[in-house]
Amino acid sequence: MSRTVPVLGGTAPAAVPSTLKDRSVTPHHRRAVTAGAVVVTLSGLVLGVATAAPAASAPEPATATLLAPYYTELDLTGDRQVTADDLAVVAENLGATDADPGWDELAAVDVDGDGALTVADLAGVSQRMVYDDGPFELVEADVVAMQSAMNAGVTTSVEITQAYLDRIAAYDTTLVDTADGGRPLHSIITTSDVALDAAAEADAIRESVGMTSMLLGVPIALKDNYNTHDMPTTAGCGCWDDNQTSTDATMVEGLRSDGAVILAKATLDEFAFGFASEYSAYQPAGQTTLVASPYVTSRTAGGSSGGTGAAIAANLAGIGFGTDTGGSIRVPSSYNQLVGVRPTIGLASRDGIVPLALSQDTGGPMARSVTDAAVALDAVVGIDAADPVTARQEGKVPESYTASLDADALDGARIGYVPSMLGNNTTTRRLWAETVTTLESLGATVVEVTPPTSSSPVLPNGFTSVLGEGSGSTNEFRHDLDEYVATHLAPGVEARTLDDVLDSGRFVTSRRSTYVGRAAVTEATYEAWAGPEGTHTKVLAEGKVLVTAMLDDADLDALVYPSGNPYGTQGTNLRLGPNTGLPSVSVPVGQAVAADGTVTGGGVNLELLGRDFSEGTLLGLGFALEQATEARTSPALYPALD
Amino acid sequence: MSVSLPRPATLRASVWGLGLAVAATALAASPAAAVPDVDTFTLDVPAAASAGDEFDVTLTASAVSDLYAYEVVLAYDADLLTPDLDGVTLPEGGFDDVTGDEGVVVLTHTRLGSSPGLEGDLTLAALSFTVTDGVTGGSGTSIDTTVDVVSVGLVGADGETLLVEDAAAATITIAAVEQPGEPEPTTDPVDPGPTDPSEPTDDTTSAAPVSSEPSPGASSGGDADGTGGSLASTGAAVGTFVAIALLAVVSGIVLVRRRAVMSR
Repeated sequence: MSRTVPVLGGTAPAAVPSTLKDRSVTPHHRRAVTAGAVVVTLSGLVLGVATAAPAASAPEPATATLLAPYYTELDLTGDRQVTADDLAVVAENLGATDADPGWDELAAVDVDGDGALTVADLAGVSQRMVYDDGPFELVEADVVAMQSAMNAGVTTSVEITQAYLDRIAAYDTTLVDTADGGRPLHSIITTSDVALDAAAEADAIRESVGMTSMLLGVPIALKDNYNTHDMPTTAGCGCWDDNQTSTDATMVEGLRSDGAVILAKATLDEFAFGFASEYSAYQPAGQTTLVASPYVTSRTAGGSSGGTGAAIAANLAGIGFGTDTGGSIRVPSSYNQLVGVRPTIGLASRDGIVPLALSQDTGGPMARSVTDAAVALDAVVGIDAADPVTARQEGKVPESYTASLDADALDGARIGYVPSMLGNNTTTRRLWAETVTTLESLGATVVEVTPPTSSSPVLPNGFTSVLGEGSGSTNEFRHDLDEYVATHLAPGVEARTLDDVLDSGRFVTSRRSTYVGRAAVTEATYEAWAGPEGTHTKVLAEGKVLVTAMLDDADLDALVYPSGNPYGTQGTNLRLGPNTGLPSVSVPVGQAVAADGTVTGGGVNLELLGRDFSEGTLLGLGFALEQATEARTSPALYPALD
Repeated sequence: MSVSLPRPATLRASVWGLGLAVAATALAASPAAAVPDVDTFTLDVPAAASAGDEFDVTLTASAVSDLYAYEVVLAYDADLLTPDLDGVTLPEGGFDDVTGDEGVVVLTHTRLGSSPGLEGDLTLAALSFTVTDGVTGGSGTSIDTTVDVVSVGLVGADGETLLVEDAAAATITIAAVEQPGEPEPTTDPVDPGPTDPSEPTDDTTSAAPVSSEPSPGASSGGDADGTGGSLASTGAAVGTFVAIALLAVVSGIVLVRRRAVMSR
């Protein structure tokens, strides 16, 4: 795994005055790395005071995948990360200059570009390690900050997990917003009784073999429609309070296998129907609760993944997961200043997630940073026989989405927009104009796109027809829910059909007519809609072709449009992803100010939509935009606990 | 013993490896945390040692701020002293590199990752030396020998650098060894080596092996020269030399750094 970097001649230290430098030096080197409280193993290198070479029977050294160029580009030893091995190479070559033979091998670590290796370069290389022995701040911490602090022994997964549990206890159902209309968040349905045990396991893994994953020990909140074997999965419905499944959703298995701590289940709009995030779980019949946005608590957190949105924005967990059929990741991401990823249909298995409409259902991360989203997405991709559409991803998924996290990713990119998708909201238009300036300043070309107005009998009005296609939730919900019930619903749950749900009275009863309508959809109607020759199936297939052609014809890397306006949606923008199956990444670009005359403090996200399985490209573009704008704010109502 | 005394020091900020000296003239105040800084270096040694003795040398720095990495170059008389390079103590929680050559020890330390720079009063390095067996000034004469901190290169968390030359020096008197059976010395002793005992080296400034020229305008770290006598240690006050490093920035010598992934 490592290649030999030659030690150049002239190892005299750079700072030695010439009288000493001229000496013939045959140095004796002694090196040590002393870490904090824990042994830090980074790809074969054990950093620690009292560590011996691993015995033959010892576990393989851990290699966490963090391929962002910042962390890989100064690697000298071929393991795509900076470790003490790399520092040793730099140290060995201190004093080398560009006049020395073999300099080419070292030029990459001449961080200050002065043509000589000095202690300044050693420092510059060292800074690319995932390690930080400074004080750890939980609020707004991303996975890199958490891993760095845990690697340095400054904190542990147990401490981080307990800190999030403390914040949930202190904030989630507490009225902290005393302004008119202020409400508690109500973002969490269930906290795990075993999260601290999982955290302790993660700490033990780090102690013994190091950071095995960028998610090791990171607490996760899941929308309560992801099956978890250790917490019930209610889908927000009181009718399913007792749905303790025996298994995890496939995506949850991926998270756990990467060492993540499943901390809590987040509230949602019941059965993921809409954008209000109103739920009835664990409440008496007829009673419901609405989820609030931590920025303006009189406003909804959006939906249907509103609990995830509020919880992650308010720093009640590290990273969240939502589901998106027609906007349910992107709406609460926009309302709560989060990065939301709606993946390509087929990238992540939906098995074990309570469905709404499998033609369009996706599960994806909601996070405070693009880096967090990329790390989280890495854990949940994969082919799963239980969700056959995932076979599409074969050969199309990169080793890690973090490889795309390049602050220069927008340089040379071509970003298209359709003017009609921008709308007229004052805040959104202002932030759009600012973003165009930013994109161009970063080297991107922003291209106005005129979409096709006709296409085929399936899409008579071209792009407009794509955006005009409705959600699959009406015609598919009953059919797809039946499959979930048959496969996953806990045997003790009495409400096993939509009729049972209606009979139970334990649901958001104001939506009775919606349940009645969906319960009445026949199998023939489903087939005519979502079957192989169904109308919806055809629109989605042709929609993908049409929008991909728009990208190809204008040589675009992505289309961009607002996910929404402050605490509102924008036209039918959210349908573009679901009606094409194409992936999108929604990124905060700013907030409403009083002068806008909209909802002051309300966030606006722009959404980057790209080709099939182009999540890496989109995350890279989003990362570059995020690094330039640093648009996300932390909700002031939910500061660090004393 | 430990004596810390400011003295006129010859300090230069330079682009390491190229040796460009930068004059510290007409400089504005620098941003507080952008540049590594140290108030005073102090080199601690015992006043005296005998042949075969092992003694400790400790380099401390006071009022350190934003010190992410550093490189200390120590010079000593290899005929008289042997350092224990396997027993060097550097600050906990970082990467260390110790390189030794005859008469020179280079001690390098860096913090790791996004860790903050070191702050406050701290020990930059501690190591022990052994006095060569049988060393004597000849016929019962003691020898003074000097350990010099030839330079300390400082690197801040933002990559700003500061080079302090002749940061500290300290003199150890190697005691005369009783030589039973030897006749009393008669006339002038034979020159025993590089250190001429006939010239007392109690002036540590003159004992520094590096010939450095003061930078124009470089201000003194203190208001008094080393006053001779039996000082075992001197230090350089470098607080004002933050400004020198700033000039390096003004001159366009700026580290190329990528934007950090993490927002902190």
